[in-house]
Amino acid sequence: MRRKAQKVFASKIGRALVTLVLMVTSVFILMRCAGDPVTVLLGPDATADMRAAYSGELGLDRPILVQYLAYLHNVVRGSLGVSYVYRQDALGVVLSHLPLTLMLTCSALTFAAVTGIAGGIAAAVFPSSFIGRACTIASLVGLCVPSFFLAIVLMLMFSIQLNWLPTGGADSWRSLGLPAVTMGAASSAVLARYTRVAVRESLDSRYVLAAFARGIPFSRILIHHVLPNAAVPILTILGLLIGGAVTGSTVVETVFSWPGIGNLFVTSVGNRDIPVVQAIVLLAGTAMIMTNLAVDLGYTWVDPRSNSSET
Amino acid sequence: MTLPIGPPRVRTPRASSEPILELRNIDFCYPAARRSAAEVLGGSRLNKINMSIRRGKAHGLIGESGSGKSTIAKLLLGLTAPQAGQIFFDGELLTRARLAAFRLRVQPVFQNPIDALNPATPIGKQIIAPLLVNFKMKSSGCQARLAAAISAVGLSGEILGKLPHQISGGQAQRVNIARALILDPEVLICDEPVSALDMTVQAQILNLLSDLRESRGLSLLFISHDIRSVAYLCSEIAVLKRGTIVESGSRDQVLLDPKTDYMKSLLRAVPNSELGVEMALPSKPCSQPIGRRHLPAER
Repeated sequence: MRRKAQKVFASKIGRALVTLVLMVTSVFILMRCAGDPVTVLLGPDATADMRAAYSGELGLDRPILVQYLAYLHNVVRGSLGVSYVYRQDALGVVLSHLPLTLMLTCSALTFAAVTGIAGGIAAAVFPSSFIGRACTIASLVGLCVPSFFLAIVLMLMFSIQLNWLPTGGADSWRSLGLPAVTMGAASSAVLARYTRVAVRESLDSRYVLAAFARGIPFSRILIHHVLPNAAVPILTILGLLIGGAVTGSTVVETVFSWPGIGNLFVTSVGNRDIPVVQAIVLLAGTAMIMTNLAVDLGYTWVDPRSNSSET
Repeated sequence: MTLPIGPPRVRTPRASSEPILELRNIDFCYPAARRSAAEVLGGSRLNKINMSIRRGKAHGLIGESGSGKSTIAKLLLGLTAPQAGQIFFDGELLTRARLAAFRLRVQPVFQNPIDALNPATPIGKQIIAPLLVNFKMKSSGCQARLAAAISAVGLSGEILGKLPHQISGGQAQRVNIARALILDPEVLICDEPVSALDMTVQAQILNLLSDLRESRGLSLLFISHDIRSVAYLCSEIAVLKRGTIVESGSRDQVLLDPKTDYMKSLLRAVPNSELGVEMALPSKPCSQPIGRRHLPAER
């Protein structure tokens, strides 16, 4: 059994590594497809000599395979070039913005997980009650309202009208409230809907009916029968939300002037700071792959069936 | 509340004519949200259902799909409440307050045995769960009863650590029966317990139920659309059509001398019916274990 678990673990790690290589390769190809970096950097009026000199400096005059191998080598060493704007290591620039983004995404995801899962369970367990209907309607609204609109509404309410919270920046913990709620609202709505469907499906199953008939209390049925079987789809969605949170914060960070990676991404695209953009894309992709790996490994914990195919 | 530990008690029926479970004038209709599905199948309500299950006897309930058989099972298990009428258990009106104690004495065996088991929990834990919850027993204290329950259904201890998807349908139904037996119930409500199983396993499960009824003095309600299974196991049969019991009586009365056209049409639909209904009936009902030879040959 332990050997089998190790095999499953190794297989999942192997798949994650292959995906990482494919992602790194895709970034390389897409960056080349986006246009000639020399033209982008020097502008259309640059002379042929200037272009040749710059190409030589960036290594763009070498064959594409050599460029690719050099790029791979740099990625493995953690060197993604020097930022054109900050004149520093691009990865260092991105990592310096990471703590604030992590703070925002962790707060938003905690808000989303608590409200979304609790709301989804309430909507599934009490579908006809006021609380069940309220959760269902709230999740529908959360899905429909774009985050930039919600951000403006929240700012008008809590910053302008009530003057409780600041409209932007990252000066204090109070600044975190509105961006976290704005970012977490959509994720909460998605989680609530998936949780409601998964829990309802589990509640309607025969094994739950059999448990009721054996006199097992509802609280125990919910904890021991319903939630473990509903956990797999919820975990999948949670994994995708966590993986996408690094780039998903772009709009919210911009609206609330939150100095995180999302804000840096928008600024760097505007400044054509390719090394920084590349570093952010690689970081976001790596976060998504690693989260999916963690979710895959989490399946074996919440659902023993995924660890054993014996019939 | 105490539970005897050790071999199951053998009940000597106080009086076999005495009903242990009784439905009186039951009316039931599904709520609007769930009615449409039942209406597609031809019936969404039960009308004035009167039926009783006597101690130590096996009662059959037959009828086509959508006639309300499973709804009656849910009512008898206290999983849903009737709009009108009363349910009596052991001579007392079944109320919400008595439901917890009632559920220890009346246990279900459902169709699709794999679906009736929690897919994420090992078999052994599922069987002892009612003891842990209802009697606050510790897992170690349940082992004797667990061994007795799985032995009674002809399973070995190896199965206890497995998950439901790792066992066969026949084994899963035996597990469901063991799970019901561990509480030492007086009544088993079997809702289509063999319809999802192949012929050989059907015969094994029918034999097992027949043996358990005799050895433990269990009362059985056997719900099925398969007249041959009901004919083999049950001494009393009720026929349900669109939520109404149209015919009931002893097995021989209902099967050999049907009164209604509906029952006659059900009998005509039995495979091998050209051989005569008598061929479907064991010569000595409910008295000895049978093998496949007692069931009509497969076509």
